[in-house]
Amino acid sequence: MIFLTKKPVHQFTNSTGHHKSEKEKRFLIIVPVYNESGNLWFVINELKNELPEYDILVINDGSTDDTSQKLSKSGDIRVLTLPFNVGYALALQTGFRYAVKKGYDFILQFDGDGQHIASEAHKLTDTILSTDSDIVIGSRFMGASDYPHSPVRQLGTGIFKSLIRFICKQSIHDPTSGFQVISNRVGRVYGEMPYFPQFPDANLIVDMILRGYKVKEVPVKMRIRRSGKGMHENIFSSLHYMLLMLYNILIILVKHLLVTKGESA
Amino acid sequence: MTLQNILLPLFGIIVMVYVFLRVKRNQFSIELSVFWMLVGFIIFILSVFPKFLDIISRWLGIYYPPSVLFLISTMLLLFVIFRQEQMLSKLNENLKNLAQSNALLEDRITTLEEKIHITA
Repeated sequence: MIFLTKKPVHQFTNSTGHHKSEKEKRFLIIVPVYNESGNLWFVINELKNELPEYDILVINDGSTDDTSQKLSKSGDIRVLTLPFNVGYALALQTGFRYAVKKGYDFILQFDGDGQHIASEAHKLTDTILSTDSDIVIGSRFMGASDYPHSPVRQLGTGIFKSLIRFICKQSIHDPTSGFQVISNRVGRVYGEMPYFPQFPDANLIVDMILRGYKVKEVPVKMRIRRSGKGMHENIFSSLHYMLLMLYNILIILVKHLLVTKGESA
Repeated sequence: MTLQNILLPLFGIIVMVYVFLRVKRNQFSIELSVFWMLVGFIIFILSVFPKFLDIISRWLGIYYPPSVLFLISTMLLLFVIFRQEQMLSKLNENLKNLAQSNALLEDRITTLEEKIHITA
């Protein structure tokens, strides 16, 4: 993997505002929700209490329960309503498009199921403000972690961790974490990405590191999900997920190899 | 004249006529109909002149002529399915873009409405 050199990212001189002081930097919290009416107020109130200086955008991904009715009484938070269910990743992408259009400097991804803890978000936002990282991931498995995990998922996480380290020479302990802060630049890349992956996990991180973006990981605490189902519940869907992810990473690798070879030729 | 000799060419003709009628009533695009028109035509030709199949099989060095038919039709069908999948993923992407843009536009409308209410 010698020719997989990281390319420097072009510095844009746009509204990302590297000249602004830290106080002026605007954060948008994006919360994709799909039939989360049970957890919704809990999550939003927690965000409002812990992070009152940040704007909140809820993306209603075509919910069929009373999430929509509850959101219509939301008042001071912005709500985007997708006409039908497009899935978690594409709902997120909608949020990225919104944030970039509105010129937010940083975007905080926050799950609507109550798994993420709002007070932990400061660890992410402080890191992205104090370092030159483009992506900061909140990790469950870094440092002293007591997050319970099934053996199958532990194996999967281990495989992807080694794979990322092998390709990118950097350890990412929790690539599936949806608790992340990204910069405006990254938001733009994600928002404009055609065929945005269904699972934006290890594949996207590998892709971004190879493109020359700086990814950092910070240990955070997370709750065990309050209600609703997880994304990879049984053995078959875990296996399907892993194969899809491996294939996805392979394609990204070959793509980058071709690009870097084409440039050096 | 066996039943086969009449039925198969007739089937080819029916396919062509049916495709033509669909196109005529604007229920099928001209571009996509070309392939199906050809399918009907090939069925017709091969059932009227089965010798063609023998010539092709000798050409390709395949001893059993009907297997040429299976080979070609399988490959053609695979090609068609792949093309359809390609179109499907493109349509899906377009649909997603539309849904996202729709959500963003709806938000713009609400924002504008709120502004109008404030000034009014």
